[in-house]
Amino acid sequence: MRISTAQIFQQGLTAMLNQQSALAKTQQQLATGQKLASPSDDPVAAVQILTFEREFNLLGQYIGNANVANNKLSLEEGVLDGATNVLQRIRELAVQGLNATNSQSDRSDIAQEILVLNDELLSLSNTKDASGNYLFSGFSTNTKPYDSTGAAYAGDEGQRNIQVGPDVLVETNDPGSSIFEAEHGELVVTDNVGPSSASLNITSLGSNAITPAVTVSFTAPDTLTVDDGTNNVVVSPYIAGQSIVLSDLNNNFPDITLQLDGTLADGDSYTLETQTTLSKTVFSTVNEFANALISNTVSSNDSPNNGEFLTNISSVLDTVIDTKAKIGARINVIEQQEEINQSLSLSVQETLSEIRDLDYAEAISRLTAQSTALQAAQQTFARVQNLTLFNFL
Amino acid sequence: MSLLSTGLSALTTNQTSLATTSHNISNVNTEGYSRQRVDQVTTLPNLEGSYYVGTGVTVGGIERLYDEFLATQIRTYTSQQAQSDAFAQLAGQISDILGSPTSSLSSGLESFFNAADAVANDPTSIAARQVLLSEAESLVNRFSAIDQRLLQLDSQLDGQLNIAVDEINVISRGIAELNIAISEASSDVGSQPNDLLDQRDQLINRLSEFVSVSTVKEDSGAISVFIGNGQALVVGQTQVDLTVIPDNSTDPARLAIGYGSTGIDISRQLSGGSLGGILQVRGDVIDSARTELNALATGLIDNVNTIHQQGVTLDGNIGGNLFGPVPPSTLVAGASNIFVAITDPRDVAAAFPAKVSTSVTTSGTGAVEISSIDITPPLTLPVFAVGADIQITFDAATNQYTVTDGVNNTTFAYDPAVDSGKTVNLTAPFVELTLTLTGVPVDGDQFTIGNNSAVGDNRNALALADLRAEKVLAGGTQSLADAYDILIADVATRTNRADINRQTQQGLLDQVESRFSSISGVNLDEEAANLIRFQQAYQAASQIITVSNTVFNSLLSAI
Repeated sequence: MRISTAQIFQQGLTAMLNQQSALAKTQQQLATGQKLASPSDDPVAAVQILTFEREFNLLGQYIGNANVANNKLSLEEGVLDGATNVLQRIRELAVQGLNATNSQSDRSDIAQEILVLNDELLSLSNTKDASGNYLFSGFSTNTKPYDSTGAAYAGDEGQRNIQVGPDVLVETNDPGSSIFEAEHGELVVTDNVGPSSASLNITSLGSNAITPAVTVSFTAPDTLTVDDGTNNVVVSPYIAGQSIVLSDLNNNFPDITLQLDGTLADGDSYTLETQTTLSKTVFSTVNEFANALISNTVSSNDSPNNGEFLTNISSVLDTVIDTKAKIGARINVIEQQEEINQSLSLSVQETLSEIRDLDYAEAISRLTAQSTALQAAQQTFARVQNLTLFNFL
Repeated sequence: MSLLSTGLSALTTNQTSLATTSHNISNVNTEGYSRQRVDQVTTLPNLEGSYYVGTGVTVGGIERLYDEFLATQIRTYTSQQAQSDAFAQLAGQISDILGSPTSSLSSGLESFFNAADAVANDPTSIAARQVLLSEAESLVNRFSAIDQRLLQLDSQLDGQLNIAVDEINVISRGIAELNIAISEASSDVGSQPNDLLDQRDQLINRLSEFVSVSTVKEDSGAISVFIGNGQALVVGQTQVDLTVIPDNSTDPARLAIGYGSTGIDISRQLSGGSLGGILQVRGDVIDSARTELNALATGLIDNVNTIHQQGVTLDGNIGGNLFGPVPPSTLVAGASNIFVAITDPRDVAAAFPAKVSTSVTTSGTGAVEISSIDITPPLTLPVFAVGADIQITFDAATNQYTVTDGVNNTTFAYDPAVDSGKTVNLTAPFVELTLTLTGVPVDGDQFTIGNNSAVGDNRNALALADLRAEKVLAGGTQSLADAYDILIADVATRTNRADINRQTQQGLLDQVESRFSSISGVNLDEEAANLIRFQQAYQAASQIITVSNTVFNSLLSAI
């Protein structure tokens, strides 16, 4: 084929320009370390990169969230650790204070310590986090959950969730009402109006609640009837001052030892029942107990009754420990999720790197090949351009 | 006598050949030049007695080596290559804008939702709220930057259209003028003004870089040039100007191509060349990207506001619009009009106005959560009037929750064995809520839904952060980020395709050009050989003169 001079020139030039642009592209890839300079280089890869980058950053956000949640829960756990210690100490002191060998002044001393501990417990329940938000007031983080009397919860039941993974939400707080409050029972003895001035005395009291109510009635001349609505046991003869153990009469009856004192008259009757307050703060319970200690009214006959105090304190202690267990479980969830997120994050990063990052070995050998090709194009251009018949005219 | 004239004819003919060869050599680098060749033909012989004696050589004509078919192909491929080139360049710019990490909406959306997450982590933190507002601001700035950049490109295209139209008019006038010159020059017998033809072809080639053309050759030697679907740009010796007119079919603020003095819009009919590329980018990329961006902005405003309006601010007010304008239909002027509607970080609505409390007697593990609150009509505080709290009580015998707000009653079924995680909608006359039911409630378990203005509530911030992956666009098939990905993929794919197209057309063009050039191009070696050939012929002819002189002299001396 006939070739024009301009064509020879153009061909050589085009070859050089093409090699140069390929070389420039490789050089840019090597300089940035990335395969793509523009999304249009490879639209599919470009969108994949965007998706994976987003995935990677989202996982980073989840890992960050997990840290926040972990911090919040650790703080709560720490406070509850303190509360556990305080409650345990209060319980020890309560047991000590109930000891019959104590004098009133001993009890008063113990009560003082209990009151100080109660204040400490109250201040623990009113703990604020670093940003000044109350830990235990639910969503109402600017409301102090318990005032100085500790009688009532002022917060709400809100629980803040933090997202630590796709569809994994972890609660990061617990309302005080679910920690520092427990069902509270009190044995109440009612003197159903009877003709005489006799009195009912309890000499020993088991730890079980008395439900249903048990009614003890005296019928002249010497019959005592114990009735809990279903079971009915008659003690006859019964004389004033005689001690009876209810559970011995019928094993459905509560474990109470009692006696009727004074002059008994026909129609005398007493009802014993544990009255339950569904939710009472531990602070009120402890306060009442301390006051009872001070006034030395902690015998089985006094209302509220001493056995119930221990039960109440124990059940709050249980709630606190339960809550700590829940926090532990949540921290476990967070840590597991964090591990999942970390490993996902790693694999996403690997995939991302495969799509986005340059294979240097390949790129460098390509660069070498391209620069050789460019040199060849330049050399052939120079050689071919020299060839003209005019040189020989 | 005849010897002398024969020699003379050879001298002049070869001189012409030498001149043409020199002309070829001189124009070796002239763009569009077609090499010329002298046709040497024998002159008429003389009848002398019974013989015809040759009388020498003369110039039969100067031929232009040219292939009409290849020339047409070159124009076609030039137009297509120029169109793909213009398109790939402009669309490439757009895909770079959309894909660049500093301006991309993808990372803007990501930061915004991450900031919402941070507010959820610490709903009372003014700093976290401020970050959310700053990220919202940065997100709208990205919208605006991209839209502005697209608009800027669009107005740059106007400039390019203007230049292209001017160039086209200059070229078409040139063609018409050359048509006149060529018609006049061609009126002599047979001979053609080769160099003028080259110039005209060159002009038509340049024209085809701007727009795809078709040509018809006329008997007079003139060429008529048509663009679009038959609009004549040059007919014989007359020429029609193109004009720029306001683009009334889409946006009167930008330009379209008008035809002739009437200025009829022919933009739709034009294809090929850089003009075709520009118009294609405008329709396929800029307009569609702006529309898509608009839809994205609208989706963002609608969805974020819907969530934000169901929330409560730090000061206990109903959250207003987080983004404006509202309604977003006023965005038609461009996504750049999106703005952040609140400035005070306390006005970020991170809380829900309603809360669920559990009755103290509740002993099962059942739970009721509010997942969203209907905001049509817009919420007003308090959500629940005094005494109108909603009580939800579980009835184990029938496995259903009974709902009452003191006046209205309803029930919904809930089988603890299978229904955990079920969502139910409370509809009017109740306060309209979507509830999520979980766990195993015990008979008589009771929940109360009432007002909430607690500052530590983060449920609405979580709902906002959840929007990140929610498929809220395109009929619930795409998340906001998905939609942006699709936009990038669309533009990048078009750019990529145009780039591949450009390479293909360039390859075809190179092939045709090299074939054309192998016919019409000057080869210096060939011309050098010709130079020697014609020089030798000239020298030989000179010898004829010498011989004729010698012959004449010897005759004279014989006398």
